[in-house]
Amino acid sequence: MTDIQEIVNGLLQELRRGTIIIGVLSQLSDPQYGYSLVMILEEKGMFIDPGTLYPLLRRLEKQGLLDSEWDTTESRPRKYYRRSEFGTEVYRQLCTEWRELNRSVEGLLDLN
Amino acid sequence: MDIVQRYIYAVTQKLPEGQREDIRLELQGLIEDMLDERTQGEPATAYDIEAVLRELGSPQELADKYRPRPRYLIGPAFFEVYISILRIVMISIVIGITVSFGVQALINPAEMLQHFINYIISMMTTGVQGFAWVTVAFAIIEYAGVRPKNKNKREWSLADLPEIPDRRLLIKRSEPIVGIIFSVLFAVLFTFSVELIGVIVFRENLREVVPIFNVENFARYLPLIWGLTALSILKESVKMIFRKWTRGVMLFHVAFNAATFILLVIMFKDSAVWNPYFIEQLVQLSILTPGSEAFEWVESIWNSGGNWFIAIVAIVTVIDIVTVCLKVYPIHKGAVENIRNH
Repeated sequence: MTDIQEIVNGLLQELRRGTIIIGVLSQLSDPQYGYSLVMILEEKGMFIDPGTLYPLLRRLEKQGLLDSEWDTTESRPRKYYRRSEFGTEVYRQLCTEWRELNRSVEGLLDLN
Repeated sequence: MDIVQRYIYAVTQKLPEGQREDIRLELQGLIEDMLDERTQGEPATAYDIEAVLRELGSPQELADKYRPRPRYLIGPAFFEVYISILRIVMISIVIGITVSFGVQALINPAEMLQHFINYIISMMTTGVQGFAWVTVAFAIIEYAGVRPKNKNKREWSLADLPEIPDRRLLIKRSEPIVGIIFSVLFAVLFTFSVELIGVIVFRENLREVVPIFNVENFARYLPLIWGLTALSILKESVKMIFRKWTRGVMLFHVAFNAATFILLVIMFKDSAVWNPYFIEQLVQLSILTPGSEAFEWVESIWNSGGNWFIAIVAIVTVIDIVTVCLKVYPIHKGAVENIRNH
């Protein structure tokens, strides 16, 4: 039965991939550095591997969804990210779409 | 912590230079945070460090995630054609140099060893040149984003659908192959054996060549010839990628041939490239007798310099351009009218 598990895991990974960005955007109204974001998301049940999150943060910054700033006042220099105005607008629309999507998928599930 | 630095280095060295420092600092902080989380303030052991780095995954994969999109010198879209063109060019080079070696060995068998050494050296240097030029040509094609299929992001319209190519417009695979073989053969011939182009005399114990060109002066034009060869490989590669005469391929073909013609005119109009003693040498070998009808005839042709040659090249070029235009233009026009009539 490992076959079923394998297929489920593969599909689940694909489903998760799409939700990571909305999850990241949701937590960045206040500035966070990469690892603190990993912890926050983990606490709320979303597991994301730092090796995936760090490159993603840079990509979202490049797309203008996030702003970043280095904080060198503490012992360890850290790069803090937060949602830009543009990113907030994008996030808002994504939320609406997500709820819509969620509703229609639930509707589909009920039928079967 | 040495191993951590090595890990970070392995990731960042594969990334664009401008981002390296920033990513290095960020990864450094991340790994320290992960270690702290793991040891809860205790000093980290080698075992902890290994566990954390394993969690981050292989440096290659991490670097791949940082890279926005794969970059290619020659991407998968052109790689197949690149390999086949490369093969054709290499084969042509081998044939060309072997032929020139054969002729030299025939004319001057005494210096066989020297010919053979030259043969090997030419093979190496020309092989490298050929490889480089083909690669450069394809890098240009890749960079210029030539695509057989239009992958523009703008909305597509029905008119963008490629016409099912008219059979008459298909370019046979052999056509670019022959084109490349000939241009490489010419380049090899002009580079290594320009002194062999001329009147070859075989008589009893006499084996002589009266060259048409002045070998030393001709050498100045070699870079031009190599450039032309590279351009010609580029042109044939474009044909091989598209496999049919489109308006773009036609324009490229015509422009290339016109450019070749102009460069040849510049070269052959320069009287220094011709062998100044051509007639005298022919007389010395008693091929021509001064005063005879043949002598007058050869001399008059020779004295008009490159004009004859240019005239012939001009006629060939014009015929080629006209044939291609006549072939491509009416069919394309017809196709467009067909669509309108429907």
